Amino acid sequence: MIALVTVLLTAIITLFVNLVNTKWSRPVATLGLAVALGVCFYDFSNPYEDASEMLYFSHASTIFSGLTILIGLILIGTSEYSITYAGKNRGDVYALMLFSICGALILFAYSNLLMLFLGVEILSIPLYVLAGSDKDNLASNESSLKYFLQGAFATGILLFGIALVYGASGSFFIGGSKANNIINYQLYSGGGLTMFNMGVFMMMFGLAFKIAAAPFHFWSADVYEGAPDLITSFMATVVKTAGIVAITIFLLSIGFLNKQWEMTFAIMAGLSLVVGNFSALKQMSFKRTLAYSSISHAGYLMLGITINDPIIIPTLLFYLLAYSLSTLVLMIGMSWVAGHTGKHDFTAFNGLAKKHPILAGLMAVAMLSMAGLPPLSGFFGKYFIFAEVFNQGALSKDGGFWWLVLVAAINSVISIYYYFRIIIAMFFSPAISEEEVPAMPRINLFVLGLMCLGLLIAPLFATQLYGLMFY
Amino acid sequence: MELILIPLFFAAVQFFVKGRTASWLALASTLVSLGWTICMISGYAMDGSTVNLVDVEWLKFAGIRFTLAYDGIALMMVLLTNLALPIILLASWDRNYGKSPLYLGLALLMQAALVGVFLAQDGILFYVFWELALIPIYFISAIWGGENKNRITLKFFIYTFFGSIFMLVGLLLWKSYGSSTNGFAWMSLVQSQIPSDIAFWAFLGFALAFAIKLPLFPFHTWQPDTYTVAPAGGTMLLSGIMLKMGLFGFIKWALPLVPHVGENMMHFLSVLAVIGIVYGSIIAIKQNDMKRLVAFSSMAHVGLIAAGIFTQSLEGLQGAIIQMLNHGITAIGLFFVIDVIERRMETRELTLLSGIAKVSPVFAVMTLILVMGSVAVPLTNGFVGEFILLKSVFDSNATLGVIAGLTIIFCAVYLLRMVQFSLFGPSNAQNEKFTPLTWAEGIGLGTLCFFVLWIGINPDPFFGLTERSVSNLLSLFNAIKVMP
Repeated sequence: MIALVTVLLTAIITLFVNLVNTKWSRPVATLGLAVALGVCFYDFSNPYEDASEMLYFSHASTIFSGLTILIGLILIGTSEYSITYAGKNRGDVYALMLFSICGALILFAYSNLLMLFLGVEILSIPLYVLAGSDKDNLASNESSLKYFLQGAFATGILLFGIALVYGASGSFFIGGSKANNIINYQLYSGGGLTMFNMGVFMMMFGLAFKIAAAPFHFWSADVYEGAPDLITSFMATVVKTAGIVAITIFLLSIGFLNKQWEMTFAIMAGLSLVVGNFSALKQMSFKRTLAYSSISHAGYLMLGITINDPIIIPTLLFYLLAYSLSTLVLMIGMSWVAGHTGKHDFTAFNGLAKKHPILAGLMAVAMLSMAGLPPLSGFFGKYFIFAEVFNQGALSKDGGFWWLVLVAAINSVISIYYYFRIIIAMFFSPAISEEEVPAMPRINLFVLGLMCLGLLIAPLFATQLYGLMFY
Repeated sequence: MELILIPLFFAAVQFFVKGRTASWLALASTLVSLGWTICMISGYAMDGSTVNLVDVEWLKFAGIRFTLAYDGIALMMVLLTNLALPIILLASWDRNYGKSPLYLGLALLMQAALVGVFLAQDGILFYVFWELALIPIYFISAIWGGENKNRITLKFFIYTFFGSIFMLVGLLLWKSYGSSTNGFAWMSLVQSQIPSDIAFWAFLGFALAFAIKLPLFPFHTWQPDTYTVAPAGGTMLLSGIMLKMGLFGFIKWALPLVPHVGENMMHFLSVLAVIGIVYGSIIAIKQNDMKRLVAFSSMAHVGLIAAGIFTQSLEGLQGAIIQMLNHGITAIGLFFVIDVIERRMETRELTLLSGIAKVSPVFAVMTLILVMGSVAVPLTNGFVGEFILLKSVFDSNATLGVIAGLTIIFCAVYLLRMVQFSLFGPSNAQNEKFTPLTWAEGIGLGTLCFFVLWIGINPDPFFGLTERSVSNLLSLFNAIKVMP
């Protein structure tokens, strides 16, 4: 809760600082997030409820908050050049990003459907603006409009779903200590299971849209491509994390109720994997490829959710950590190259390794992690999910979703093809771009290096990470 | 443990050094590793026992331990790796890529990963090292490769990754559905019981990964192209050591599943292996590019080794293990020879070469020794291994044994054809370009020839190293109880 307030205050202060001097907004926002991160660790005590018991700050939610704040910190901290498009308004962009993070923090801790809705809205509305924050760029405007129209539609359906669930159960509370929560819907039920299920289905629709899982993914490629690089990185990491956690909290709290939700999820996971990977194969633009790859990553994460057991939360955390770190390294690297060559195509990266071996090397490490090659975190993220699905399958009579693991395994082979295109471009292709890409500032390179180091050593500390979750 | 840390450390050092210092440091590192290996072998009791090197908790909740241990078989493989590395570095000593710290670092990283594969006693650890070995060789081939390198190396990478991801699924099946008491620990997996239908799928996953790595007959399409396109050092790493990972994997990780899935699987795989022998040999006869020729011959030889492993007999495994060492030596030797010729004559086409023996008799003698070793002439190492392998295959299935026996005849045909075209015949005008061997080349080829003759004349120490380990392994596998 203190972290949430800290981020909120930082956002407001950033807005005012921007009025005084635009240059100060980045240091102020960065500092505020650093404080919030510290507060997060300080806050790591016994779980407690807040806001009339509508928020429940567990260990898991604190750790996810920490991850999100860290992502924001890295993004804003390294944004000295990727923000230049905003000119005098850069403080507004930072403030909106911070507001959006507030929404994510609420989504990690909600124990009431109203808070879920508030969180989703606080997360999304700044993003509609942010996607269009490059005002002179047509693609950015298009991206904003597309995101807003479809996003508003999805939120509407989410809200309708919440209303139906409330109608069936007479409560907004999910699980937790409240006696009158939605699980006890039989007690209050007038319309019965059908109404409840319909509500859950609509809520899933709305939330799956947020994480860009197939078949609700159609917005993502265009929006990701059109939005400024800084905002795309933000959407691919923070929004994905928040959405996945929101879905997980909700589904775990209703215990899936019956098998059909597991199957629905399994099919969505499989579809996301296949659609994301196959669409990514033929893209010319690296940014668009990353957009499609993020759809397939949503597939892996949803594969994890099918397990329907709280054990999956640390597994998801590890996957999201690995995914976010590697996405950030790639996005920051891409935004540096694209900012100076003016294009996001694979060809813009040709021969990068010759000129900037360290940047290319770090991006290659991130790419290998994303592709799931050991001993990097990306591999262990996938592996933990696969292992959980198999364990669950061995326990249940029908074998669980082992077939889905096969789909995921084959898909991770396919993904090598497009992930390696960037490595081939950077390392093995002669340079063709006329624009000279200058060397990245040392401090940014250092941050990227730290993130790659994190990717390398995180598996060594996975046990401790799991331990924290079950404090 | 030091065997992994030494190369890793010196690979990291390569970031900070330049020029010849880098080469000398890398060479020194590989020599230290070799010395360390020899110390380990001389300290080993030869009684087939397993010696623990390190055993710590890694990911407790997932049942993964960081366990490295060795027995005779692992020592043999480590010996091959650490013997091959200095020679590979010597082979690329005067080449442009061989001077690059990046190449040296990648080669050392590869060495660490390979040693890890041979020593790992935990399924996931094995998988991690297995994949780790793929990354450096991909970069070596793709950075310094020849024509069409991007397409070919990507195909190689995706092909092998495709196999190994199924190995991961197989491992997960084995652990989740088996009654393993200690996570992924090898011994615990081997002794666990597993329903035969699950075991079938798990075995298929392992077999696919190893068959692609070998490569076994229908999965070989990546191999000739990759061998041809990779720089000589990369080809040596691939053929000399990396494909032994597949063979070693079959012995250690796939055979324990055989009792659960039944012997039919083994017969099927043996037939594939023998098809590979004949197929590889026949194609090799028609090759004009020397590197392609040796690539296909390598496929034939490995087919025979695999057939020996599939017999699951003491002789078959013993022959396979010694032949793995032999094939490592001769394959590296032959690619070395080809590289020496290519560097000077700027071609690998047999039709453009002639009479090199007249200009450099020493080189010709060393080439002949290596070729004889590959053809399996008595008193060379190839004879020792292939004879035992053929005997074991013949004992288990006479028809297959006879067909597999063709390998020696075919091998004589294509390798002697290669020798005849390149070394003998009238000396052509181009041969002036054939400068004498450098010291690095001389030492490298000389060492290889020495091992060819040593193993050929006195193979007993090498057999002795692995004999008890193999029989222990087989009795362990025979004691596996199958779930009713």
